[in-house]
Amino acid sequence: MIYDFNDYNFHVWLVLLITIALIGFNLIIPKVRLNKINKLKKIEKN
Amino acid sequence: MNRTFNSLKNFYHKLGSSPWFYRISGITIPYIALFSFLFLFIGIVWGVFFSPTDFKQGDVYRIIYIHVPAASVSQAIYYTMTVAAVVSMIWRMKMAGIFIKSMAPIGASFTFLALISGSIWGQPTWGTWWIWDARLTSTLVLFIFYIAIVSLYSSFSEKKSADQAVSILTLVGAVNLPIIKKSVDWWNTLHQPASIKFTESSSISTEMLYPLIISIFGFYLVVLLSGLMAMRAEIAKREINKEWFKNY
Repeated sequence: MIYDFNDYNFHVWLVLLITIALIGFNLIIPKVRLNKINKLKKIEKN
Repeated sequence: MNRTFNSLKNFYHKLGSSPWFYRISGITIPYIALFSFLFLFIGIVWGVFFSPTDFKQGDVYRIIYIHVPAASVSQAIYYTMTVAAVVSMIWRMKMAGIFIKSMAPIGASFTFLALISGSIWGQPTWGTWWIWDARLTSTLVLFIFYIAIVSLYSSFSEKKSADQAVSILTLVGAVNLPIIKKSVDWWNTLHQPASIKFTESSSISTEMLYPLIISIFGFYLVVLLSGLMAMRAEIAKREINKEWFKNY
């Protein structure tokens, strides 16, 4: 049976939102850290 | 046989080289990102929207497509960190320290996800958000170990000493891993035993099992992706003054 999109299930949606946020943080934080270091490297080069 | 051993040995030696790792991870990250999002998307969308409704729990059981993969990766990360801790203690390999430092926050976030998703699932099914059950408590201990590793690392200013200290703490925490695994067998717990078994048939219907396996695979790929990205950032931070990094 297909999950009814209109049948709002608070528990499932809450877990989905937390998952997206946590995976997002795990990917964004190292990307930002590396970008900062690369910027610093460029400034030092110039 | 000898050739395989030699190529494995070569690969192990290359893993110890930060310039090699930085270059190879930079090449592979876009492909891993593509496959991890693909598997995660298919697994979760299939599981949450298209798999059958459970006859007892209704739709709330769909949390399984996040809870089980998160719990699985949270333990797997600690297993790999234990191997890295042994390598760091015996061979003093710099990359092993970088690995532990980079993976600990990722492990902590997935253990937190396993705990919080289990708690949200427990409320409608068990009637409680939390219980001091053996599986839940041992997983909480795992989370505390991850936090302790992150905290211990940041308390050192010298990287080499930090690597050695967190390696010892990681090895101490490894004692908890078999306890988590066997907690549902050794004690009478509210948490159910494993649904997916490798040696005998699984207690979960195949219609529900396939998206779960895809979701688990997707989570492992996302962990690999975030681990590689975190390690690259850590290498860059440590080697910012090295000639190879300046010329990269």
